[in-house]
Amino acid sequence: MTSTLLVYAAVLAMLQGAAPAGSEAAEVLEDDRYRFCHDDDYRLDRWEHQWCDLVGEPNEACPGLPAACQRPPREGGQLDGPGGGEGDCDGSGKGEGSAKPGGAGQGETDTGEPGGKDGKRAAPPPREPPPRRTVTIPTAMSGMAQVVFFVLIAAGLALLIGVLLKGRLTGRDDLEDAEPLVDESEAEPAREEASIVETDVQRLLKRARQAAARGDFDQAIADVYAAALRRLEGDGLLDLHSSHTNADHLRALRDHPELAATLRAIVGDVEQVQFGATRASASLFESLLARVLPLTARPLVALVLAVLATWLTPGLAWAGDMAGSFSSPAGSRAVVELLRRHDIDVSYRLDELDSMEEDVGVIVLLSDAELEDSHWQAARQWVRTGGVLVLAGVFPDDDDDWAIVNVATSSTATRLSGAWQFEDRLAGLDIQVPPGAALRVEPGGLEALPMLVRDGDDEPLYALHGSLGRGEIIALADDHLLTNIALAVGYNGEAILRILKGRGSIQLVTSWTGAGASSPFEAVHRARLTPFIAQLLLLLALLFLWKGVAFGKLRDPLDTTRRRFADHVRAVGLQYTRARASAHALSAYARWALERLRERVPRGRQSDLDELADKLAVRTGWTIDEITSLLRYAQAASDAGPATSHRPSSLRAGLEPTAQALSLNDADQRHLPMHVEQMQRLAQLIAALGRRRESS
Amino acid sequence: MNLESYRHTFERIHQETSKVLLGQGDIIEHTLLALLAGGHVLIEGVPGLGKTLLVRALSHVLGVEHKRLQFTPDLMPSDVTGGNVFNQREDAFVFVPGPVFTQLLLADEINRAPAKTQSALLEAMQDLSVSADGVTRALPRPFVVIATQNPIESQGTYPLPEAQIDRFLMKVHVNHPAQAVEKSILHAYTRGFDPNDLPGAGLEQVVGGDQIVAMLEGLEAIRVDEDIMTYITDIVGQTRSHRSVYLGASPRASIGLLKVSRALAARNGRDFVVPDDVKSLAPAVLRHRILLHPDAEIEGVTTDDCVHDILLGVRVPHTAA
Repeated sequence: MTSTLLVYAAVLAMLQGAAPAGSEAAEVLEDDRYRFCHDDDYRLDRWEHQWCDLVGEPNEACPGLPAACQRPPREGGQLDGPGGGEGDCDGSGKGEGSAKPGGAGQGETDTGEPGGKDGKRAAPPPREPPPRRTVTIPTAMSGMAQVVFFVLIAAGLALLIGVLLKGRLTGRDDLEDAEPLVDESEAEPAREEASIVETDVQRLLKRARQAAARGDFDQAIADVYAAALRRLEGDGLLDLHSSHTNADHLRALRDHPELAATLRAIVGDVEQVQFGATRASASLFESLLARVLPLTARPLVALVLAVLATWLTPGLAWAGDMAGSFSSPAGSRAVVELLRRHDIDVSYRLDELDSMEEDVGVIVLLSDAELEDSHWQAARQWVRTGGVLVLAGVFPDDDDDWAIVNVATSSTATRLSGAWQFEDRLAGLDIQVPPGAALRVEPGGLEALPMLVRDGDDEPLYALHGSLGRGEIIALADDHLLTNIALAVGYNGEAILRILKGRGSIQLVTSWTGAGASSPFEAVHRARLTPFIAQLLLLLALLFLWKGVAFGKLRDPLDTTRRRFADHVRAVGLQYTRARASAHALSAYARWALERLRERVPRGRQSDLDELADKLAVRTGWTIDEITSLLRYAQAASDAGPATSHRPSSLRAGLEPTAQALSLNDADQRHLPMHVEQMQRLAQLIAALGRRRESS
Repeated sequence: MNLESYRHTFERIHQETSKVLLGQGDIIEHTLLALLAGGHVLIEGVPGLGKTLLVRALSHVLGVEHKRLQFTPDLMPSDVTGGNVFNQREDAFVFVPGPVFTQLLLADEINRAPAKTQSALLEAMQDLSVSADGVTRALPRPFVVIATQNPIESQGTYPLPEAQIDRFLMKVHVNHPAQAVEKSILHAYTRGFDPNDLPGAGLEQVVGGDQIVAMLEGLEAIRVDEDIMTYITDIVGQTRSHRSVYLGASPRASIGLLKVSRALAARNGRDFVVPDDVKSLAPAVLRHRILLHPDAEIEGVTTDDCVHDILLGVRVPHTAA
C-alpha cells in the first residue's frame, strides 16, 4: 500500500507539469487525411457510429463528423484501425446491448438484452477476453519485403563479384591473346593499355567525355559505344565477346525491337567512323552520347527504383496504413500527432516484445496487439524494472501475478470523471467514451487505484492505476480513448495528454508489432514460403543434375598430342564401316588371326591347316570340323585380300573354291554381316586358346 | 552506279530469281554476291534441289548468255574449251569454241569428270581466257562458272583438285527444302509452272551483261579499312595454324573474302566494309579451301566447324570486349 501511494505521488508530481492541450486536438484533426472530419460523403461504420451520441453539433474539432453521423452506417462495419474490434452499437433508442471491443465479424449484440441510456441495463454478461484479430497480409508483406531486400543485396554482391572476376579474366585473356608487336619497346605501353578492357559503364562514359574534352573523338565514340554495349551486357541482353560483331549484337536484341532500333542507329554512326570515311567530330559524339545515355540510365533507374521499393516496402505499407486505417476514426494517428506536438517521442513498435529497449518509457498495448505468453512475461519483467505499461483493452490470460483487472461489457455511462486520487489533474475535464467496457478489480490481485470512473454507473471503473515493482500499470477498459475520433469529443485529447505525458518515450503495440523478421530465414518462415523455397531449391538441384550448368566460359578441351591406341582402332573401324569395307577388314584380321594361332601351337607344318586344326581342337575343346571350316575361311579371306601374303601355289589352288565362294573383291560382296561374324568367331577361338593355356 | 541503285538492282535480281527458286533465299544471296564480286560458285547438293534451275533463272534475270556443260567420266578437256578442227573446205585448222565461251557456264556435276578434264577450266576461271595450240582467246565478260557437284560420298565421283577448287570464290551448300517450301513448289507446279519456260513463269530480265560489269567495277569504290584487312588476314591466317587443318587457305582466299565482302557492303547500301560482312561470308569462302587432317576427318570434324572455331578466336576490330 505504501508503495502504491508513493507511485501515486510520483504520478501526481508528473501531472503537475502537464500543460492543457487546448484546441490542439482540433488542429490535429484539421488535416485532410482525417476524412471523417472533412469528407462530405464519408460514412462511418457501425463501430464508429457509436460515437455519434457523443458528438455535438456543430463539432469544432471535427466539422464533418456530425453530418457523417446523420448518414446510415456502412454495412459490415469492418474495423480498420488498431484500436480494437468492431462492435454493434446501433444507437437505437433503446440502446440495446453493448459494443464488444476488439471483436471481429459483424459485431452483433452480445446479449440482446434491453439496456442503455435509460439506465435499464441488462445484467452484466459473463466475462470473456477480447477476441483477437488475425492480420496475416501485413506480416507476409513485411516478410516478403525482407526476403526481396536480402535477395537483392545478395544478387548485387554476386553481380559485383562476377563483374570483378570477369574484368580480371577479360584482362587476362586479352593479355594472352595480345599479338606480338614489331617494336616491343615502343609497343609495350600500348599493349598494356590495350590489355585492360574497361567494363564499367560509368567509367567508360567518363573516359569518353575526357577523350572528347582533349579532342580525341575517335576514342570518345568508341568508349561511348562500349558503354552502351556493356550496359546491355549487364542487363543480360547480349553477350560481349571479342569475336562478336555489331550485327551479332543486333541479332541478340531481336527480341527487343525498340532497343535493337536504337542500337542499330548508333551502330550505323559508329561504323561510319570506325570503318567508313566519316571523321569523328564533337557533334557526332554529342549525338551518340545523347542516345547512349538513356540506354545506360535505364537500368540504373530501375535499380534505384527497386532499391527504393525494397527499402520503402515496410514504409509504404506503413504509409498505406497511416493513410488508411490509422487515419480512420478508429485509428490512432491523431493521438500520436497530438502527443508529438508536446515533444513526446511516440512511435509504433515493430520489434517483438521479447526484449525492451532501455530508453522506452511507456508501452501502450492497443486492443489489436497480439501477445503471446512470452511477451507478457517480458512486459511484466520490464514493468518491474521501472517501465510504464498501458493496457488499453488488452489483458493477459490467466496470469495470477497481475490479473488485477478484467472486463465487464455492461457499462452504459459515457461520461468519465477522474477518481479522487487523480482529481487534481483529471477533474473538470469533459471526458467521454461510448458505453461498453468497464473494469473490475479481482480480489487478491495487484493493488490498484481507480483512475477514471464512469459517472453514475454501477460498475464505474474505466481506468485503473497500479504498481508492479518499480514500474506502473495503467489499465483502460478499452482503447476508445486512444482513437482519432475520441479527440473530436470533449477534452479527451487533454486527458490522454495528462495521462501519458512526462513518462519518457512511448511505443504503441499493435498488430504490426513483431511483424518484422530478424533474418531472411525467419522472414521466409513467417511468410510461409519455406516449403515453396525448399521445393524450388530441390527443383533447381534436379534441373542442375539433369541439364547441368556451365558456370564458366566454355573452352575447348586441351589439344592432346597423342591419342590412345584404342582411339585409332575405333577410328579405323569407323572408316571401314563408312566405306562398307568389311571384306577388307576380314582379310586383314584373318591374316593376323592365323599368325597368332600358329604362334600359340607347337611348331609343325605351319602351312597345313588340318594339322593346325587338330592341335587347336585339342587345346580349345572345339570340334575339328568347326575349326577346320573356320581356318579355311580365314585362309581364303587372307589370300583374297589386297595385300596377299606369299602362299604356296598348291595351297592357293586348294583354297581357290573357297576364295571364289567368298568373292571378296566383288563390289556387292565387300560388306556383309557374315564377315563380321567370322571375325568374331576367330576372336573367340583365339580367346578360347588363351583361356585353355591359362588354365593348364 | 551509285549505292542506292546497286542495292535496288540487287534486290530486284533477288526477288525475280526467288519467283522460281522457292525457299532458297540464302543460296540466291550467296550466288549473287559471288557473281557480282566476279567470282565463281561451287554449289554442292544432292540432285533435284534446283541447282540447274538457279543457273537458268539467273542467266535469264541477268540477261547473259549461258551454257550448260554436263560433266561425265569420259568428258575430254577439248569438250570444255574447244579445239582446232581441220576444215577441208578452207584446208586449215579452225578453232571451234567449246561451251566455256559463254558468260554464265553451268558446269553440272563437275566432280563426275576426272581431274584432267576439270583442270581444263583452270585458265578460264582464273584468267578469263582459253589457250589452245598456242593461241590465247579471251572469254566474254562477265564470265562466271557455276559448278554443281554431288557430295563427295556419292558413287562415281572424283574430288576436285585443290588448284581447281581454290578458284571457286564460294562454296554453297544446298539442303533439302522444308516441308512448307516443298508444298509451295508443288503448288507452283499445279498452277502450271514450267521450268523450261521461265518467261512464262513471270520471270523478267532485270539487268544486262554491261550493267553487271558496271556493278562489278563499282565495287572498287567500296572502302576497306586497314583494320578490316587485318581481320581478313587474321582469319585466313588462322586456317593455316588450326589444329585440325592440314592445308590452310591461300592468299587467293583473302582476296576472295575481300571482294565478296565489298559486294555485301554495297548490297547493304554501305560504301565501306564492316567486320560482319567478312565474318558472315567467311564460311562460304573458306570451307572448300582448307583440307583437314585425316584424324580430324575421322572424328567427324568438318571444315565448317573449323571456320566457326577460327571465327570465334579472331578478335573483331574495334570490339568493346
